[in-house]
Amino acid sequence: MSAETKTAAEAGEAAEPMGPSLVDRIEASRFLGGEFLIWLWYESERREGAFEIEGFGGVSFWLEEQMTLRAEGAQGATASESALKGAMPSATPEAKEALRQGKRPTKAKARLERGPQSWSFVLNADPLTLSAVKVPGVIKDGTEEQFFERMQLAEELEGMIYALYGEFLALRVDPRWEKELAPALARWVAEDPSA
Amino acid sequence: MGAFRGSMSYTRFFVRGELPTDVPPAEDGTPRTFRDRFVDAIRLRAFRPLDPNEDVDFRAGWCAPEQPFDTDLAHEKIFFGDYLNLGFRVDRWRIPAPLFKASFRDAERRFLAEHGRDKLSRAQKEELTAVVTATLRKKVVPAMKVIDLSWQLSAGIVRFFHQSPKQHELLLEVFEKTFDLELVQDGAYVAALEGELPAPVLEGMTELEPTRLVEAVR
Repeated sequence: MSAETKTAAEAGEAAEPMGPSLVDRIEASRFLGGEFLIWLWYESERREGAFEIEGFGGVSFWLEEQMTLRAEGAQGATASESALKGAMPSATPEAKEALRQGKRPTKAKARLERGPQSWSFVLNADPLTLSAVKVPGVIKDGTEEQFFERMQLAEELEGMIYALYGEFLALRVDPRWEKELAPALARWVAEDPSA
Repeated sequence: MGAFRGSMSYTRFFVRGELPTDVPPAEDGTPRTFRDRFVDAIRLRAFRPLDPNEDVDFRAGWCAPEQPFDTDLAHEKIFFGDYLNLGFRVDRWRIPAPLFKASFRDAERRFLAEHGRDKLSRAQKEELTAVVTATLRKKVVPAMKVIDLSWQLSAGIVRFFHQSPKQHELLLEVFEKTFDLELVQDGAYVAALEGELPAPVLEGMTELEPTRLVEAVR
């Protein structure tokens, strides 16, 4: 996904008009936020945290401190939920067991490091949003300069996360997902970390 | 947890529509831009305090960023380079339930005694509720909430520093009335759309079914 932004006019021209069609697409794609979280979880373990992001270079990414997984019951109500905490909750047997029970991550705390800079944040699955974002240390003096730096760092984080999202989506719509990646994910889910 | 300090929790919205370009000049012939038009529009929907004599439960409007009591909005208070920053202030009457119940029972007793009745009709109950509510509103201070909003103008991205769907609904209404532009909330599909992903990816996304991670093992 391009790291560059575009004008509202360009966005308006490129996008479909509002109406049932866009709403249908939004609703049909909602589950992909949770699958993106699972993919990040899986890849961060497989790659040992080392990601190469187009436009940004090498970064380290890992899940930490807290993760919530939920199974939906009838009409979207929560059937059961696992709220895991600890240094690396994603590496615990409980986390994999929750996946085996059909739960999906709804949010996870993560850290991303690029060179000397480090961001911590919570990635929410539905809707796909960032919260509790802590940007690398900013200049302390000057309200306006501080604001610009905070925004630049937040936009940089968005750029990296949404670039990863683009990488995930390109894989997800590829026929190889069903043939190779989904089975690999399933084998990973079935693994017992305590074994 | 806003735009200016602390950790940041926000929801992104994408602006649909173009920034106005056909802004008429001022009366003295001075050229005006969309920024001038926006300042006028924002001032029209600046926050106004709740009046206990009005029959409204809440009110939302704009204030200066980080200055909830400053509703005299001007260019230098809201434009930060490519960003338009505002405070979204929502005041709401919150009358503690025990206070309301006690006041209502008291008012009911007096009404029944004055009118020689045993109980209130439904219409009388509703009218008494309204009277008691209006009386108590003069004794309490509305609950105030202020949420940062930062609009990155060239990118058409609005960051609203609250994640409650109810607040989003309110924001959409006030934003669209102020700027005559629509907002579309970020999410799995919209992020892909705004990220300029190839058309086959966008098309393919909406035809996917959730991955079965457990059954595939069996």
